[in-house]
Amino acid sequence: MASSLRKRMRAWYWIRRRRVTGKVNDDDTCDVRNMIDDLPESLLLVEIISRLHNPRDVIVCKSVSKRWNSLISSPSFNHNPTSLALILNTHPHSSYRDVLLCKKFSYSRGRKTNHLRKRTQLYIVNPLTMQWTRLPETDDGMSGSWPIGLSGNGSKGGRFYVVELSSCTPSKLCLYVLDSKRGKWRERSIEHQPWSQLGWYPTQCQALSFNGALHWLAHDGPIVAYSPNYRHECIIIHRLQEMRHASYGDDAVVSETLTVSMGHLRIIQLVCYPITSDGHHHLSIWTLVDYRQSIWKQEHEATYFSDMVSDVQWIQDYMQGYNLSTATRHGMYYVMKRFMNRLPPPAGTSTQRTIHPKPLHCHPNNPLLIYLCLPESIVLLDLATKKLRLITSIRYKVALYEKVIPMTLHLDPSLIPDHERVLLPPSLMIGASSL
Amino acid sequence: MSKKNIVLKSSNGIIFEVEEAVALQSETIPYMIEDDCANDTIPLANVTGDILALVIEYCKKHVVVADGDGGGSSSSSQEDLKNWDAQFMNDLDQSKIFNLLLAADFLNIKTLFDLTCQFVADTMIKGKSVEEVRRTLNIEKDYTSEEEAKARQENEWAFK
Repeated sequence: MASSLRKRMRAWYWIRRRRVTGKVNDDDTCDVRNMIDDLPESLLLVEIISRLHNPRDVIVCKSVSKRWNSLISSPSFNHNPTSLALILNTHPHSSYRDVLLCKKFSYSRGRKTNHLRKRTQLYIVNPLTMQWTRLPETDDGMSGSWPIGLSGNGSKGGRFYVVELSSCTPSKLCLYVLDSKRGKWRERSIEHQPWSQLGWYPTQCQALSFNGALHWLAHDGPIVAYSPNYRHECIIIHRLQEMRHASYGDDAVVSETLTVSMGHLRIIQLVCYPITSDGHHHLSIWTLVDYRQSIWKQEHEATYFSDMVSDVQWIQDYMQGYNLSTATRHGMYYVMKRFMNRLPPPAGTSTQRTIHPKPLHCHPNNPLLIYLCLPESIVLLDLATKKLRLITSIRYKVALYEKVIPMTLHLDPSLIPDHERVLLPPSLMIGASSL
Repeated sequence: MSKKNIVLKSSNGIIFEVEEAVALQSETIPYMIEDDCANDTIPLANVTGDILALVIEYCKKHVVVADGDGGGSSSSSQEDLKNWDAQFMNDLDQSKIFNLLLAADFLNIKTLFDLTCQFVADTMIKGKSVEEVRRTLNIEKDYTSEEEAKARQENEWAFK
């Protein structure tokens, strides 16, 4: 339908163009004219402006002329580039729309004991507008290693919530919650129906923000969610029996991640077997089609690693059997040194050193595009074609997967409250400004 | 194996004879052949001779490389082609570029169309200030100063 529309637009354009500029056009000497505004709108906007990947450039276009402004502001122009942010230096830990929650570590020596003390400071940052704010510290100092998430109320100059998981016992969820309007951390503990014997731990360091709540995926367990709007409750979404790790067999190694695409929560599972078992390594995606009723659906047939193809030789070899011997040619020295070239496996054992791939995220607007973490690199798997494409390689980082954060860029970037200073409780802020 | 040639005629009457494979990179031309627009010559009423020459130059270059080594062209030839594309675009003035864009759209040559759009976005808009975009593209400012100031204020972050 879109293409027929385009054709019609094009035909219409050519007729108009011949009528309007017919005379001028015969004369090839006319040169320094405003050529770009002669282009039909469908070409100018959809084709040229949407190729600007940085929203900043689009904003500049809005100010160029009234025509451009009205074209870009019209609802038919839907420029919403989505990207995965990979920011290694500032330790991003979570994201909400276009805002990142980052941690910064600092070390200081105690005066008497001379012990190194690690301090963690949290920031919220909009990488596009370069606005940031430091968050207040918790009373007992942040542990720095607990899973943490960022959420908000969705409005532009909005309110943010930061939630840190502090412990999860079989029947109690303990959290630290920071509300940007209050500027203070609060402890919350929420009783819930027990579902595990010994407590649980989440599979990812980052909590996923969805529908105003933060979601953690428990290892081989349910999704546990907390919404700052409902302080005394938590949501538990159980998984199907088929999604349990045991259902893939005793020797299966399952790595999984919780992600969101096209408005649905999804779990990507990579199921790997020891190399000797002539693996049926595969990828499965489970979609939570009904959030309230916990209805899961397996969207596609499992995709086997052996069916995946890539233009890059080592990626293909790796997916076929974790064979990294061709990888040295691509400069992947670190992985080789660290894992492959260490002591060979003891004679007579079949133990091999393997590094399994890890799932990262779905593309936010296309659930058929899956980002995976391979040794020192990030690849994109297109489930429709089963093709793997190298997105980026990063040397010397094995545990990349914790550091990849999905982020959406917006033409109306979120504003960070109290830019360039610590987000303080209201009373303290009044005190500070009256000084 | 006989190589069939196709004759194209530009809006100002200039005739070009090209190999079929070159012409068939356009998705519009096959329809014109089917529709029997012409028995021998295909008239392209929307494309002038100098622009058609450029289109053909591009298509010739790309058909050779696609032929090169059985489709699975090596990364070095891909690289060469990219460099060639960049050089090709760099040598053109603005009016040629926009006419080329229109021709690529009309003839439906996807790679050339993508190349041209991306070139316009990258060289004439990306990273530039509002004034630079206006100057580069000869766009007259139709905002009043107040309106412009207001628009800027709303998106202050983009102008730093």
